[in-house]
Amino acid sequence: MNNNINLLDFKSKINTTRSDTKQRNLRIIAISLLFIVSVFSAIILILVALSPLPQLKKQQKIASFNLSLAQADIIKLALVKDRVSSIKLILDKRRYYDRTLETLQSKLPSGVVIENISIKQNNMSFTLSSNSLLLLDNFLNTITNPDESGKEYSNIVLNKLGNKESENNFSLDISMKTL
Amino acid sequence: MSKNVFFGQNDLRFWYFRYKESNYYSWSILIATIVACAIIIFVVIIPQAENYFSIRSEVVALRSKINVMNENVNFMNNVDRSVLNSQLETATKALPAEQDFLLIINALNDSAISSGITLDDFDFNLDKGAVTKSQSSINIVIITNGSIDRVRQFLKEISQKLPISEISSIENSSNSTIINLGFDYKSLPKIVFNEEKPITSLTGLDQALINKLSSWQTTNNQPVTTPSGSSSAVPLFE
Repeated sequence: MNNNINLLDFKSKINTTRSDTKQRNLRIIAISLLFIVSVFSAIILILVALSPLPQLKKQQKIASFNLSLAQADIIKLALVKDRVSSIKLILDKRRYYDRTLETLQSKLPSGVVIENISIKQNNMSFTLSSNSLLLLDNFLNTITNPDESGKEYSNIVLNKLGNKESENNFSLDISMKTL
Repeated sequence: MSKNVFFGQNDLRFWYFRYKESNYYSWSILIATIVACAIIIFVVIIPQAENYFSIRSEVVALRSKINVMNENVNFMNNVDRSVLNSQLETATKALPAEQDFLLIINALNDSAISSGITLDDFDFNLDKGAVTKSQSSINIVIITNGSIDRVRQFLKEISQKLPISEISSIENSSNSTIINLGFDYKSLPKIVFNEEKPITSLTGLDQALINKLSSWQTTNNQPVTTPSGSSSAVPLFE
């Protein structure tokens, strides 16, 4: 029999205190969670409500409308760019035969004339005539020994050297590649 | 008559009065609160937060888009319409959208007159000369009469006339020259304007090229004067 003056069992009191502590902790957790939920809900509600998205969409519509007013000019500009880029490509790969002829003529000594000439891509063949072999020789020396401007021709082939005794005229057939 | 409003109402009351003063009641309320909060966090707050962040990134993207669009509007407002029109005119004259025989014949005629050569015959070849899918070329064979110097002058003149041409070969013998040249043309592309892409102006090089082409065009439009040394020159159509 229990002779203690306390009718309640001491052990069960300890258990009750522990239970209270646990409950208090749990209450704190519950209140914290409630607080967090309410605060986050409020924050998100405010953030979403204050989002500038609808206003920005309105601005986008206005800008789009303004651009649509200038659409004709935008297309014109795009067309100019397209044409210019194509023209650039054409001009870049263009061959200037007038310059090729000019360069060749500049190398001809006076007294040497071009009888005929054919230029296709970078292949050039021509016939020169002169009444002096020395002049033709000078020309050959000029084209085979490049000056300071650098090498202008390659694959120089002397096809034929002819002589018309009756006219005292020498002819020279040459083919070469322009660089 | 039974006053039960719903099934188990008396059971719930019973359980409530049975446990309301006990620890179980407060425990169950706390646990229910925690569980409800957890559910709200995972089901509502986290998705809403994700939604907010996606809205924010959309706002950032939209802002930059609007900036680009506004810059485009400003750019287009500052573009000189008359200059743009003249640039387009020059560019389309230089590289027409379709075969323009009148321009070609004008260019040939002007070059022939300026260089003092005679165009004996010419032949348009329309079958050959597809450069690319959208770009094609009209090949022309010209037979000219004139010295090498005049032919050279003709080649120089034609290279500075619109529409732009490419000479593929020349063959000269005894004062007669056969010139193969092509005039390119390119169909207009389908322009798809993207509002979000910034519009850029022509580069300095492009501008210089347009100016050069424009000067060729101006030369083309100037009144043609026959050089003094070419009294024998015969115009293309006489």
